[in-house]
Order: sequence, then structure tokens, then C-alpha cells
Amino acid sequence: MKNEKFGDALDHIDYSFIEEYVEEKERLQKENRRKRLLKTAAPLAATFIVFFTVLGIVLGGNTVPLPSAPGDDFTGSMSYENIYVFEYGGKRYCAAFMNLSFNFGDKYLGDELGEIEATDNKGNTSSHKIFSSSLDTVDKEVFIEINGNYYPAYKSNKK
Amino acid sequence: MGLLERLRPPLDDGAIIELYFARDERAIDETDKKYHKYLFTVSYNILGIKEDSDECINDTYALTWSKIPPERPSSLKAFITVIIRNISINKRRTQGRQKREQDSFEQSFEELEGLIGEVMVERELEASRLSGAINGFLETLDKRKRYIFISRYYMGESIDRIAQELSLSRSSVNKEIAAIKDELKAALEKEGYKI
Repeated sequence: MKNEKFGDALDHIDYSFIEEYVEEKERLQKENRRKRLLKTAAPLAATFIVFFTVLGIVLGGNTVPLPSAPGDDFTGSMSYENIYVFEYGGKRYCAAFMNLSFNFGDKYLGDELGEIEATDNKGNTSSHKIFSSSLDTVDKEVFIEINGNYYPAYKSNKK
Repeated sequence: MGLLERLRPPLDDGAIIELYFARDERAIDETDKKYHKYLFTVSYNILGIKEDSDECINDTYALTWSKIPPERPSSLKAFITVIIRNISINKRRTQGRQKREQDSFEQSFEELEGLIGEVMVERELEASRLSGAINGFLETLDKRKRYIFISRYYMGESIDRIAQELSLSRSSVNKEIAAIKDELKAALEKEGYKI
């Protein structure tokens, strides 16, 4: 009976509290979805960057301009359209311009470092902005802007 | 419903309300598309029986159709929340004690057990006075505690669910609920209730 009394009273809770509850619930759900997404995406992005770092180090050791893109023996949904090689701060970097359906780098951009001339694997030169990385997981790497998208560039082991 | 129709994002609440005002039956389809899952959760928390919850959802659509117009809710979601909650509560009351697949609602009420002394007054009058006291008490809570109170005691949500939503541990939510109950007890005593 005590419960029923409380139940009856709760039926008449002020409507504004329900509006506030519904609004807060939506906010919390959105926030939790975002957290879950970040939890999934962060390791994926880190794996992705590590993979291309290793690939960049390997490819960066080749002569410039680089040989044709290694898309032939690459399986999966990505393919290289170009490899860009440039120098910054006395170091040589290599960036793979990938045919991806999403803009990979813009979330991880740090400060704009300047503009550089890069040579692609066909010998063409063009100017591009470069940025530092805001990711803690990647040390001393930079991002290069190519056609409005941002790609990680990796230090070449060739001096 | 075709694949393209299913993939189309739901209409915003304002557009759905306009459909109700135009007496366009797509209003119900759109409400269902956007809120079916949510309404089911609300009803199932109270009733704990799938078939009954589905029935309550249909009753909610019928009642919403009859209430809009003339009413024009500022929040469609809050509006249908109150409707399905009340329909589900009434169904539960008429059913009495029945075996349910889950019963977080009963558990939530058991937590309040003992807060109210046996005051022999006419039930309607007592409920109205008590609801005034509870509304006054809710005003004094901060937003987070109010959210926990409404989630637990009005919506009958489980402790686990609330903890998950607020990114808290189960024991933290239990502590907050104990604090809310203490505050409620003090507030009701102040209003002359024997605890």
C-alpha cells in the first residue's frame, strides 16, 4: 500500500522534469556513443598509422623518384595513386597518397609547419602544406596536405 | 516499407507534429519509426512482458493521435514518454502481481518502502499532497540527482542501466540513490509525513 501511495504521487511529477530527463538522456546517449566510437577508432587509427609508418620506412629507402606505386600486389580496398617524397627540417619524408573514401588525417593535425615542394613518383613537383601530428602515439611524424586531404608522412631511412 | 524508406533518416519532431496536425496518418508511422525501440524499453521496464509492452505502444500511438491536436508538445519524446509510462503503469496496476520476465520497476519501489508512514487519508487527496512534496523535493536536487531519481523511480530503470548511462559503477549509483533517499526522507518529514 505504501508503494501505491508513492506510485500515485509519482504519476503527477511535474512535466518539466520529464522534459529535462528526456533531454539529458539523449545527451548522455550521444556522449556514450561518441565514447564507444573513439574507443574503437583510436586503436584502429593507431594500427593504421603504425602499418603505414613501417611501409613508409621501407618504401622511403628506394630511389627518388620512386618506382611505380606498389598497388599491383596490394590486396584490399586501398590503392596507392602516388608516393610523395619531400624534405623538411633536414629530414626526408615519404607520404602515400591513398585512394580512400575518408579523409584520414584532419582529426590528428597539429600546427601548420610550413609549405614544401614535393616530388611525386612520376617526377612532378607541387607545393603542399605540412602539419605536425597531434597524436601522442606517433613520434616525429608529419601530415601533408594533398588535394585538400591530409596524409601521414613518414621519415625515410634514406639520407 | 521499402529499403530506401527504411534507410531514410527519421523526421524531426516538429515535422512529425505537423503531420499530426494535418491529420496525416504518416504521423504514427514516423513516430513508430523514430521512437518504437525507446517506447518499448520504457514500457518493458515497467511491465516486464513483451506482448503487453507491444500493446501499450499501440495504445500510446492511439492516445497521441487523439491528443495532438489540440495539444502541441514542445518535446514529442517527453510527451509520448509520459503517455506510455502512464498506460504501462495502469496496465500493471490492473494486472496486480503477475510473473514478469524482468521487474526492475518493483525493485525500484521496494527501495522506497518504509519512507512513507501509514497516513489514513483519502487516497487521491494524499497522492496529490505527496506529489506536491515530491515536486518540491525534486526542485532542490541538482540535475544529476534528479536524473537518477526520475530514471529509477518514475521510469523504473535498473541500477545497471543508470550506471552504464552515467559511466559510473553500480556501487556509486547505489550510494547516490541512498543519499537521495535520505534527502527525500528529510524533506517529507519536514512536510509532516511520519517516516
